[in-house]
Amino acid sequence: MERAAEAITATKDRDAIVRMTKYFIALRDARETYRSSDRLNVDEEFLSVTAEPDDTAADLAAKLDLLNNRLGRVNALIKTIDGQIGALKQDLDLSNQMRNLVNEYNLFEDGVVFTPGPRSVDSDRENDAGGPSAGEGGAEPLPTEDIDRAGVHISPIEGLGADRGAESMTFSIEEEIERLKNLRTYMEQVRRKLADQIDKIRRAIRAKGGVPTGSLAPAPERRMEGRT
Amino acid sequence: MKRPPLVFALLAGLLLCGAPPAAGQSPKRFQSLATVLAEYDDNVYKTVSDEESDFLARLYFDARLAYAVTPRNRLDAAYTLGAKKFAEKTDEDTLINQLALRYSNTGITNTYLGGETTLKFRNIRDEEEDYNKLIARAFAGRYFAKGVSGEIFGAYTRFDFRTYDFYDYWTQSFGAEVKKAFSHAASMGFHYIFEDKHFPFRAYENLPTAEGEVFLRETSELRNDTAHEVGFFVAASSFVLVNFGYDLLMNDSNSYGDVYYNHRFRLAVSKAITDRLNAHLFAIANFRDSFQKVLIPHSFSVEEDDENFNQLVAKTAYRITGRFWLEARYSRFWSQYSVRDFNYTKNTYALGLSTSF
Repeated sequence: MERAAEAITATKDRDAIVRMTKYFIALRDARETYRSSDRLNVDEEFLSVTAEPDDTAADLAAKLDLLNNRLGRVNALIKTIDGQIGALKQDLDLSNQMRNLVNEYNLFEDGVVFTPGPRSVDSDRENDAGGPSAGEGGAEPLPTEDIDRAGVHISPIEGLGADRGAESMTFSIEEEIERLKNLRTYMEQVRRKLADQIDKIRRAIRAKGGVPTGSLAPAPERRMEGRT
Repeated sequence: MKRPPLVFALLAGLLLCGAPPAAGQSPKRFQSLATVLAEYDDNVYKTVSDEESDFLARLYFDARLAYAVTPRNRLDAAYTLGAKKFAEKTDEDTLINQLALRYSNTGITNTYLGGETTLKFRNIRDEEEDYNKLIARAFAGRYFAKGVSGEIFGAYTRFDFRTYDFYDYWTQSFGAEVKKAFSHAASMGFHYIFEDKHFPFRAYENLPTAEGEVFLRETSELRNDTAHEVGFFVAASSFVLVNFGYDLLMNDSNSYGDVYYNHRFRLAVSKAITDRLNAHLFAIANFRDSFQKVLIPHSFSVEEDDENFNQLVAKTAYRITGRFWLEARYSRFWSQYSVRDFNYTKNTYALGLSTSF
């Protein structure tokens, strides 16, 4: 990707610049994917770089460079996770606000009307019809005022169920935040282990009279400061 | 009229303060929310004409405690208080207390089961629309692979309307729900609920006259409805949080005039406009389609008792500081029945503060 960037700045051909810029964007997207939690392969090999007794100064320098690179990737991943957690918490805030709003309107039921007044035949119509007699499978026809509109209490919001959609959404976000927090905890452990290995290799380089390089790897204690 | 807020406040206090101390990690999580609004209501009594408006203060308080009794047993308790105090129409002053308890166990891998109960008491100063509601529910669910989860449940509901028996009922219901989370940003679900609903008064039957007129007669049976509800929802988070749901309620009854379908559409949209400013829109539309013609009171007309009930709530919340938000709200409720007498439109405008801690 860096070479593509250099090539873009070097060329003066407009078409070539456009073509290479597209290539650069594709590379950048691929790298972002590579940097995501799913693609960073933290396996046994990733953490197995240690100083061996027969390592030369050059070997140690190469190992230090490799570890610094890996530590940088882990740091970038942790930063990405922090950003994702922040964005999800904002979504969770929004979702909770909506859930509270729905709960509040469910509680007050401001729009529900318990309809007053009867809903049936009027007395004239009843008399006209003659009215069924008692004993024909039921009681006497009711006078108008005794028959009300009954059982219409269906909360317009609740229905038979609750606000299941909002609940579900909140649950998914909380789950994702929890997953990312667990991932972050794991990556913190990886970072500590890498920093420890870097420290050992630095000491090994000093023991051989060399000067450790690689400003990417600050002391682990300092690196942990300010992390939440 | 007895008002039970003190009992609930004490009970909630005991729940919040009386939990045993944590060992090691804190097993308790407490969240609460309070909202105070100054509001203008342009149709307090929800009338079709001669609307009466008024100013009011609205209070909403919600406190929730999640307590891990053991690592695999959890108790959730929630106390909710709602109150409305009108400037002039004081007969509409409202006080609502609600307590919810839920106990769940996750002793079996990927499985949860438990029970919950909700008690709601609504008191209005004129006592015309007071009611108590009890919901008891047992549930069991399981998480499957690939973000799929399922739940079955059974519930008992009792609704007691204070002034008339005609609104009272008790129900037993059973249902199942399946959800699929594609990612944290997209999910959907389907549900089915069967409900057996009993009323403490007799059913009516229609004895049609030769002219085809409706003539109702009380039968010897108590009214009994059976309802089937199917529905789905989809939720997604991309640029905005969107949640859309549709429920179809198919109600059958042994009482004439109460057989209907109800279509309910729900839409919730939320958007963080800036770090401090959020906007929410919440809309409900109900379409009730009755299959039996009844005589509408005072109208002397025989019609299907259809209804279109809608609700729209728009809210913006501005974070003043850490936990304090300034809220502005607009709500609109409107219904269109087959008979104009029952129609109404109600608008409310509110401004206030909310805080959570």
